[in-house]
Amino acid sequence: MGSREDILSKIAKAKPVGNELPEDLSFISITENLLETFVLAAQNNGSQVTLVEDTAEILAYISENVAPEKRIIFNIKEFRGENAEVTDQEMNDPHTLEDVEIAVIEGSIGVAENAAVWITENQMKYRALPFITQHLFVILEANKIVPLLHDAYKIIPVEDGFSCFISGPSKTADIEQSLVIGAHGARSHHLFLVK
Amino acid sequence: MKSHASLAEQFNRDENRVDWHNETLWFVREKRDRQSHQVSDWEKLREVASKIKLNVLSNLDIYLMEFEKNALTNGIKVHWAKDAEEHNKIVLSILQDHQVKFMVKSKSMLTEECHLNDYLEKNGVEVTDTDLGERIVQLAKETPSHIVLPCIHKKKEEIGEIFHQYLNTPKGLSDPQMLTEIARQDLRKKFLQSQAALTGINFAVAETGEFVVCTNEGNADMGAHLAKVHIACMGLEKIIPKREHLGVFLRLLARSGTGQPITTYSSHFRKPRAGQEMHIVIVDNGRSEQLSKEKFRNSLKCIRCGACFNTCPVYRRSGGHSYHTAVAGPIGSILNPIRNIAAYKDLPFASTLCGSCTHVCPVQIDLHQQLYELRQEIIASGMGEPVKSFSMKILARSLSHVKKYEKLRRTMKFGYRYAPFLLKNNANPWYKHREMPEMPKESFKEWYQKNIGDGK
Ligand code: SF4
Repeated sequence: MGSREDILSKIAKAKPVGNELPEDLSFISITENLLETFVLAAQNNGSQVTLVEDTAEILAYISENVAPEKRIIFNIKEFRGENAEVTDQEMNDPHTLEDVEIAVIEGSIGVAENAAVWITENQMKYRALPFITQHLFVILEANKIVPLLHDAYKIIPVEDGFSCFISGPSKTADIEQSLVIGAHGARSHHLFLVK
Repeated sequence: MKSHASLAEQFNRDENRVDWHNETLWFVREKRDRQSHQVSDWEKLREVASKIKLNVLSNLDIYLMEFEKNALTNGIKVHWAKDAEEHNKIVLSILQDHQVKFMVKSKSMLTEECHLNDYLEKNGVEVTDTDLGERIVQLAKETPSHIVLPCIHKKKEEIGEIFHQYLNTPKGLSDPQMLTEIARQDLRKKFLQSQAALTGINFAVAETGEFVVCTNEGNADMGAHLAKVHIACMGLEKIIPKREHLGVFLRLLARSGTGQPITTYSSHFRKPRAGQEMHIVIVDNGRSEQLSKEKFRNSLKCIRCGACFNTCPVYRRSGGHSYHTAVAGPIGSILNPIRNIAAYKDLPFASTLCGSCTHVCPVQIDLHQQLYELRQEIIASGMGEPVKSFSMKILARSLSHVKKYEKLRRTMKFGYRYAPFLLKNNANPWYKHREMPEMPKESFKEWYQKNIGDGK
C-alpha cells in the first residue's frame, strides 16, 4: 500500500485549486433525417446496411446468402429454434467460439453521427463473440437512433460487466495508411435496420 | 549522447523517404480537418474537454480514489505503481501467480514508456504485440515511431521483407491487404493460446469504476475476452469524472487522431467475466511531479490522440525515432524533458514553434507555449547547444549596442562581397539547411539618411 499513499499525498500537495466541471454539455445536434445520417455514416465506416420490415427478412437473407454448414450463433429471442445453435447453454470456454462464421446480435442504441451501436454483454451473450466471429450481423430498431453520442450516454444504463460501441468491421491502416477491412475482429459488419 | 538534430540528420539522408513520410502524415492531418469541420461546434467541444481535464487535475486524488473504490466493488483488482520499475514488477507478479508464459498485448504507450516487453522477456514471459503496426515494429526489433501509427515510418515492401524473415512468407510481398491477412492468421493463433492479455486504458471513469479501450482492429477485445487474466495499465491522468464525459472525449479522440468519426470498437470494461481475473495498474512515473510544475501541468490533459504529431512540420520531416523516446512529437518534446531535462534537453528545440500543434490539440494544450518555456529554462540553466548559445550571445551583444551593430553590419557586408564562403559553409549552423539571405545594397539607416534625414 506504500505507493498508493505516496502517490495520493503527492497529488494532494501538487494539485491546482479551482477548475469547476463545465455544466453545459449540450452540443449542436443533427435534427433531421437521423436514419439517413446513420446509414451514410455506417457506409463510410465500411458497413453494409439493409433496411428490413421485420426480423423474418433477416432469416431469409441468411438462408439465401450463407452456406448451411457454417456455424452461426444467434442471440435473438425470435430466432431460437429456427436455425443453428441455441445459445442458452452455458459455455465456459470462449475459445470454442473459434470457428463461428456469423454472429447475429441485437444492439440497443444507434448514434447517427458515427453509426456506433451500443451492444451490451447480455446482447452478445459471450463477450468474445462479436470479435472472434468472421462476420457480425447487428439488428437495430430504426427508432432507436439518437443524434449524438451525448444523447446515447444520457439513456444507456450503466450495465454490469462489459459493453461496447461497435461502429463497423474490424480495420487497420497501419501499412502505409492503406485501409484494410478485416484485421483481428469481424471481417464484415452487416447492419439490419428494422423499420 | 543522442540528439534530435543528429538523429534527424540520419533520417534526412533519404530524401524520398522524408517526402513520403511527410505526405503520409499530412494526409492524416487533412482527414482530421475534414472530420472536425463536420462538427459545427468543434471549438466548444475542445473547450469543454479542456475544462473537464482541468477539473480532473484539480481533483485527481479524489477521482482516483473514487475510481478505485468502484472498481474494487466491481471485482477488479487495483494496483498502484510509483514508477516504471514497480509497474513492471506488478505485471510480472500477476503473471507469475498464474504461471503465465505467454501474453498478448494491445497497444499501450505506457508499457513502452516503462520498457515492459524487455523486462518480461528477461523474466521468461513471451509477449506478443497485437496491434498490427506494433507487431510489425516488434518483429523488426524496433520501437513505435508514432503513438497512434506505430509503423508509419515503414514502407510496405519493408514490411513484406520482415514477414518473409520472421513469418516464413514468400519473398517480395507488398500488398497491404495480403500482409494484413497474414498477420491476422498468425496473431489469431497467439490470441487463442495466450493465458493473459494486457491492454492500455483510454479513459477510466471515476463514477462507475469502468474503463474504456478504443481500437479499430479489435485486438484489445480479442485478447481480453479470451484470456483468463486481463491486466489493464493506465497513467494516472487517464481518469475522467463521469460517464457522460465519455461523449465528449470519444467524439474528439478518433477525429483528431486518424480522422474517423469514432474508432470501430469503444469497449467499456466494468467487471471481469465469470472465471476471469481483471487487474488495473495505476501508474505515476513522474506524473504527480509534473502536476506540481505549474507552467507545464497543462500537458497532463493529453489524451494521446497523435494529432500534434501529424501536423508538426518537424516531426513529419524527422521521423519519430529521432526523438529517442517512447512518446515523440510535440507532446513528447514536453513530457520527456519535464521528467528528465538532461536526457531530453534537445527535444524542445525540435519544433518550429509554428503553433500548429496547439491549434489541433483536442484538449487545448498550449503546446508551443510550453515548448518555448522549456527552451527558456534550458538556455537559462546553461544546457543549450554550445555553438548556438555562443553565437546567440555575440549576436545579442551586437544588437543591443548601436555602434557594435553598425560595425558588425559593415563587416558582414564586406565579408559577403569578398568572402561569401566564410558564411556559406557547413561550420555555420544556420547555413546547413538554408540559403543565407542576400544583403541589401543599402541599409535602412543609409536609406533614411539619404532620403529623409537629409531632407529635413
Ligand atoms: S498533446 Fe493534444 S494533440 Fe498531442 S497527442 Fe496529446 S491530446 Fe493529442
